[in-house]
Amino acid sequence: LRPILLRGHERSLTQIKYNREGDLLFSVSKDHVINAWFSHNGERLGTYDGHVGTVWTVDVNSSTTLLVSGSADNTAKLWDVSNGKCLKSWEFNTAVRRVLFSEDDKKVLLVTEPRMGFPATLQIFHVENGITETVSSEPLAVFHPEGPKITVAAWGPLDKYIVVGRENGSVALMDPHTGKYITTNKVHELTLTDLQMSTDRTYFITSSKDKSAKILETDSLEVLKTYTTDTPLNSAAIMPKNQEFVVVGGGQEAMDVTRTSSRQGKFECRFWHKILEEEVGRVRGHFGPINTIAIHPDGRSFASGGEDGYVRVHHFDDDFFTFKFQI
Amino acid sequence: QDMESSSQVSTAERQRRRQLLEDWANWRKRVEADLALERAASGQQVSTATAEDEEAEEVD
Repeated sequence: LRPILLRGHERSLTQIKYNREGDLLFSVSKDHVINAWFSHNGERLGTYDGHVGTVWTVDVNSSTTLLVSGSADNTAKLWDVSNGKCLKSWEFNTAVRRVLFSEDDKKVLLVTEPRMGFPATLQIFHVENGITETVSSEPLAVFHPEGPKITVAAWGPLDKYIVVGRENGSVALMDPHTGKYITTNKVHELTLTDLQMSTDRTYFITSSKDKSAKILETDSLEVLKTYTTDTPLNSAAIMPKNQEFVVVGGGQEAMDVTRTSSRQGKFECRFWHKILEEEVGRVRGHFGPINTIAIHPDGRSFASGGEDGYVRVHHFDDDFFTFKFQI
Repeated sequence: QDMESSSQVSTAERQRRRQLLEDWANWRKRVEADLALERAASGQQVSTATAEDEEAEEVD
């Protein structure tokens, strides 16, 4: 497993995403910068400049033409991937914590955070499927979801639901037309930190500060698998090909750690067998908590973004692909 | 006897793992079939597996 260290951020990473082909990796950080990298060699393709606060979240459409980002500067921005031009900047009352293209690429979902009398909102904007400079300033829908604060979200299969994860450890299915909750299930003890869909969106993985990650069936929100670790988790991802694995990562914040020794070994990406729920390996390297994990859509590599400001890209060796779990 | 019992445990464990894998595979089959039907009904393109072929057609 040879790591490539991407040095392009001066502060902690908040989210990383591969595009659909997996040739590009996008990273966002508290340093206000959005970077695009070639995933095979770690060279930087470019940056997207314009945010003036922490960039919390990023997503890229399936044709790699449009990028969307959400920031603590109370804006979400739509970018032309190929030339770095900002096509649209939407303004809100509070920070944008999560952005996601719909499965059909025609819509963008934004989650804004509650603050100073402003309620949390979920907003859906229409974006053309491709490059355009005439994207609407007005949302298709604005929802004010009741109940616990939403921390993570995703589109379900065929965009028929919005799946959200909340601060109290619950997940919920929302009707994207009405903003009403259809089902909820309290699956974690503490806040959800990540929620990533499987390739066909029929199931997804959650990570939580309660030190566990879980796989749930999207339609029923039924828990199918649980991966229990010894450290609060910030991210979890499903390997789409080659191996039936999931990768989880996290770690205690430095301020929460009293003993140096207890810090050792916590900043690792842990590989679990998705179906058998058994840990199969760890990859270390970060000097602080792991904030975000993404897996190449072909399952050839994975990347982790840390509190330490680094992105580490790992290309799997041949023996990874031939590895067979002893049954 | 130890050898025997340990090999029995591992047989049981092997059986348990096989069962988990089989259950998952059956569940996937059911869910993928359901999704294919829903996709067809909604008039959207079929699964991601054929998405590349469709893209190739668009290029032509």
